[in-house]
Amino acid sequence: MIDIDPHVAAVLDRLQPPTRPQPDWENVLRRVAAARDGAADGATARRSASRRAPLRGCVPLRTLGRKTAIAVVLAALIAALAAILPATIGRNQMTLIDRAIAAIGSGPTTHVVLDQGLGTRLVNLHTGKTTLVHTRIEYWSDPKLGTLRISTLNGKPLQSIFIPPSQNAPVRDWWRPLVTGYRSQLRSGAYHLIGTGRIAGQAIDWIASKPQAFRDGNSGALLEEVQEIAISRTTYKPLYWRMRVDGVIQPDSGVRVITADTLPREPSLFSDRHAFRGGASITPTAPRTTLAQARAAMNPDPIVPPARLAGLRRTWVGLPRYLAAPFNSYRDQIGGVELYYGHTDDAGVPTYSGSFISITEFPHRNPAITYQGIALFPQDAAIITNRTATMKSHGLYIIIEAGSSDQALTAARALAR
Amino acid sequence: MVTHDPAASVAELEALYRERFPDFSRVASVITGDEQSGVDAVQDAFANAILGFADYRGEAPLEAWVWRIVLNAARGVRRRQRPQPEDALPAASGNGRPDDDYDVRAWIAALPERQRLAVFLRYYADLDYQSIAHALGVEVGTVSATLSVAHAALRRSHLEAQT
Repeated sequence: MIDIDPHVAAVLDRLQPPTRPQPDWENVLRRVAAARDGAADGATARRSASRRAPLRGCVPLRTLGRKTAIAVVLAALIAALAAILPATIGRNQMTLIDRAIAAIGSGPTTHVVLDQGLGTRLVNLHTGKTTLVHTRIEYWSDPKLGTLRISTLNGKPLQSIFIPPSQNAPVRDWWRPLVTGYRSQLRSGAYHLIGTGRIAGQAIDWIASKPQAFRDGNSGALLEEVQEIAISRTTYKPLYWRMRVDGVIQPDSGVRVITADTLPREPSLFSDRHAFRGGASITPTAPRTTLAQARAAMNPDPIVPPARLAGLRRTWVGLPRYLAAPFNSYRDQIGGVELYYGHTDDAGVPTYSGSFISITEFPHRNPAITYQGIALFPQDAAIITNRTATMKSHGLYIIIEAGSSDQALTAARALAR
Repeated sequence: MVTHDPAASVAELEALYRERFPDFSRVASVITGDEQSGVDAVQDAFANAILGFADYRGEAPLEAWVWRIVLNAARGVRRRQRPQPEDALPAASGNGRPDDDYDVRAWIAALPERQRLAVFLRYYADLDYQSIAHALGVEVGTVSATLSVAHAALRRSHLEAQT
């Protein structure tokens, strides 16, 4: 997207300064009625209901017979009612956004439960047994108390993370805006209606946020993201959430919204939790390192698969991308290494495109979570979602990104040995 | 999926109208040349959208479909008001600085119509490329290229005027 620069913006603002004319929906309905009247009369639609031409050729009632006169009066009354009724229907009607704001409530703590469905596979890396798993994530978020994120796998709680309110690195999940900013964004007018549809048999309206620019961590390209939320026409609560980046729906962003409420503040919920620490920002290029340096810096030692994996050659070893400047200060605290197999650009930097495997290993869980918000690290098994795998092996928390689901699984098997 | 329930259609259009009316009227006003005509065009367009909702096939978001109707209505008003060469721009609503406004109008008028409309939709209505593409009936890539050229031309004119 082109960002309009200030010079051009000044030109456009001078051409047509912003104003806030009042919407008059009743006038639209009057135009509809006028056009229908016109069509019924075989005449062209009147251009404006407020500029009706005076009636011509009217016959005085007294010149008609009694029955005819009554019929004319009744017809006139019906016509008048027909003209008034649509205007009455439209008056004081709440908009979809108004109803969505009312439905989410006004409590200080947001409670959201998201269902990622069965699109995720749990693969036993020793036996090869594959199970479709149901993943859910539950959030409790309060601007004063922080955010609590609890993930479950097939109903079994896997991990809870607490992010203090002062923490600058919020939940990195795709759907974080739904957890931390849904109500305020509704109130600020950030969403608009884009269409209709059905989710699980329920009629819904799609609303979308205004495009927000961000820089892609891998390519450095400036992209625009738009959140799309399906709002139930019955309850006006969100039923589904997804992210569109530069016009394309992100396949791993879609989640069913099981619960979305606001509740009274409950401080005990947020207390006595292991707090997440450390800032993070994924950057397009990370500092190189060597395997020897990684071994010296990490405890446990990194797992180093063969130099060729799934037909791809290891071409780059570096620090995890989020450790690059300006977050180098965290390096000593969290460590980690990234092994990359596949194409690099002219500067020798991974392209993360086409056929590739990227393996990021962390000695501690928290930095791994920071990295893309992934929280599920089963022992001796891999969780495969689209082209990403997560696992725990030899004491390391591992995230694999690859060009395909099969490549991700191949890498996971190599790391489990 | 497209809703065929007439009451639901009207409710959707009303919601869109109430949420985006300032943007619709701002774009329509800059095309027609004055705010009242712009508001008239928007109201006519929504009336036409209600009457013609059966024609909406859901291939584009509802808003993009309505934008197309609003643009057509505004261009229709402009043609009825003042027959002009295709690329001329009607008088702006202005801000009390006639000389400056003349320059601004001239810069905008120098743009081909598609560039002008793309700039209006991007800047005044904050539409994304996809929606602009639907509204103008062009490909998304065309919108990107069109905006790039228009933007460069406006920036050049503005900088030249300052030197």
